[in-house]
Amino acid sequence: MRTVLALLICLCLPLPLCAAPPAAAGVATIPIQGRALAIIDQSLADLDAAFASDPQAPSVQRLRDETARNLGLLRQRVLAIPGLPAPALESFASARPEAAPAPLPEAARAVAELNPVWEVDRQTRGERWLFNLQLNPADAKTVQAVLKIQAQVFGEITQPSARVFIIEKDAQIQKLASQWKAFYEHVTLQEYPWESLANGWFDVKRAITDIPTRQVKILHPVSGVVAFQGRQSSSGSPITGAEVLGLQWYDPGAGYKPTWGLGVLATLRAEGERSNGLGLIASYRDFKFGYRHSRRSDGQKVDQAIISINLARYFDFAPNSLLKEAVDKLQRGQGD
Amino acid sequence: MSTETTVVFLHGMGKHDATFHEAAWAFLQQKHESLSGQPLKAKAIPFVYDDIFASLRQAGSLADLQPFLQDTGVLGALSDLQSSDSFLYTHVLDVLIWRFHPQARATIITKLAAALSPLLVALTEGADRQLVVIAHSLGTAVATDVIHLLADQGVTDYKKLPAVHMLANVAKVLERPELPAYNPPQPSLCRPWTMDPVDKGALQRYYSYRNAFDPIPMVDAFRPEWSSRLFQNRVFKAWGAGVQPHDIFTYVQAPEVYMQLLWSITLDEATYTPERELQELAATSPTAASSLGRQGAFQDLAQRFADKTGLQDFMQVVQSMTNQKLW
Repeated sequence: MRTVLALLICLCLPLPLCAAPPAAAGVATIPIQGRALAIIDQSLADLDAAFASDPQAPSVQRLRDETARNLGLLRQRVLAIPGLPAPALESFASARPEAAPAPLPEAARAVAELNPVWEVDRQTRGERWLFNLQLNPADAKTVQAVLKIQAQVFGEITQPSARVFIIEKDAQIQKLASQWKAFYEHVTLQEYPWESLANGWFDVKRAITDIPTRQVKILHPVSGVVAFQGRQSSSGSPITGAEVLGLQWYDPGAGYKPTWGLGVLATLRAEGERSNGLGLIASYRDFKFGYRHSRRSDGQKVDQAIISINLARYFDFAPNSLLKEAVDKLQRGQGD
Repeated sequence: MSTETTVVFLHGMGKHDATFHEAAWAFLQQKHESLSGQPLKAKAIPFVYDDIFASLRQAGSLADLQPFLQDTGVLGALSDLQSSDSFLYTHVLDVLIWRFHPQARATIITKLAAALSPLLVALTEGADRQLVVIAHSLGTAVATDVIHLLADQGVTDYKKLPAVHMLANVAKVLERPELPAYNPPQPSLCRPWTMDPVDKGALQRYYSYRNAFDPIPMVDAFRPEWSSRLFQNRVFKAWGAGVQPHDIFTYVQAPEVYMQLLWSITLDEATYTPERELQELAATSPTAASSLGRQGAFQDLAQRFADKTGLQDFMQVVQSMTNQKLW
């Protein structure tokens, strides 16, 4: 813990103490390499010393070689990290995502990705593994040295680095989850089962990170009232039918609330009509409006403008008793 | 240095609340205390996703259909079905929704990934942290997809999940063509990491368990060709005391399972030795005579469905189990 604090303090120290020149006026840079390289170089020296004096050297030759190779790889990646702006370093070391620079340097990511390599695997009973090698014999000087090196490299270099990037990834996962939650609640659960299944089938190959912004409507029940018919101001008759096939768009920025929609409308035959009605229906938010065509019993064409109940209420057609009666009738579930 | 372990439970099909893991967890706590003399120092977190299934089962406002359905009997029947707790409506529908409803599936996967991801972040707070995932039945398929997402999005590039235990593993039974459990060309990333830098495998260790008396994972058994050091596949026989062979409690009570689980949770090398496991196995009471009849019925099923694949076989097995009152 003390060494971690030392690293943090070093990383946050004023420039002269860390002996790093500023890259440009106003932007101080401190090489992150300093402390990490010192750890790695000392580790290489310790490894050599332990191996040279290890009576069990032949049985730990591969472990020594693999540790040296991985220290070399880590050194190479640490060297590739450019000087970071001081605030970036501070956040890099203390893992405060809100202060982290965006994007974080790719070279630092390469160091962070070595973190799993440097973690001791203890999941096999009675055994410890590192670099895909069993740490055996446990009492060998080289094994002891490797464990000490691992603790320092893992604790001071790779794990703190990994923490910054894993926090960054976690934020992306949280955002994705909240988007799907909003989509599910505001879109999927508002659909009928057959629409829901059909939309799922249409999107079966869509990536999970690509949340749909439109859905197909199939046989979606529609209730409305005739607002205008020919030159009459309003017929006031209720209309019930279904959006046979339509498309509905949603706004991801507003929690997947519906925006525009367009579909083909089929309605049941109204009183005095010879045929069922056909037409088009459009929607904006939860308001619907459309056009319906049918024929009366005497063969005359009927062209009607229809609106949804909530739109009728929005326009406040209350003085029109026929329309009001139609709205009430539909709400009571007594539509024809 | 004591290890601080978090244990995540994922439930299987059917109705579940946040207490679904309590019986299994209490058994593990009691077993650890009796074996080691110490209390089990670990925190259990139940991951519940049944709320997503439940909301979809209830979806579609029947009231909207009222103008079209004059027959109140029809509406009543639909309403009864929606609120049904029957095996068919909860268990089977859960599986069907999971398999065939990509949007519900995505919602579940991202919800659980968002719950698991911070636990991976917490693992980077120190070297003495452990995270163990225990999934059961449908939860194994769910866990496979959740972990695949985390790996695919790069979360596990920085920290591998130490141990995932799949009880009654159906990851193969419920695999989808676009994301096979382990077969090439692009298998799920919910697999042990080989330490190859280009390998995006998400786990340090994968444990799979199958009760030979449980027909559901038997339909298409999980048999990847992974390194035996990184993957353990245990098949055992347990009928369970008063519960059916697929139940999570039946699994956890088997020595082949609890010894491995408790080792993984505690990393207690002194208590969970291979020798101790042999002792526990020897102490297991033989199958009760009363269950032999059920075993006979099961043998017939096993012969009919062993090593077959596909959803149809899966459904036939479940139906046969139901008909023969093996559930």
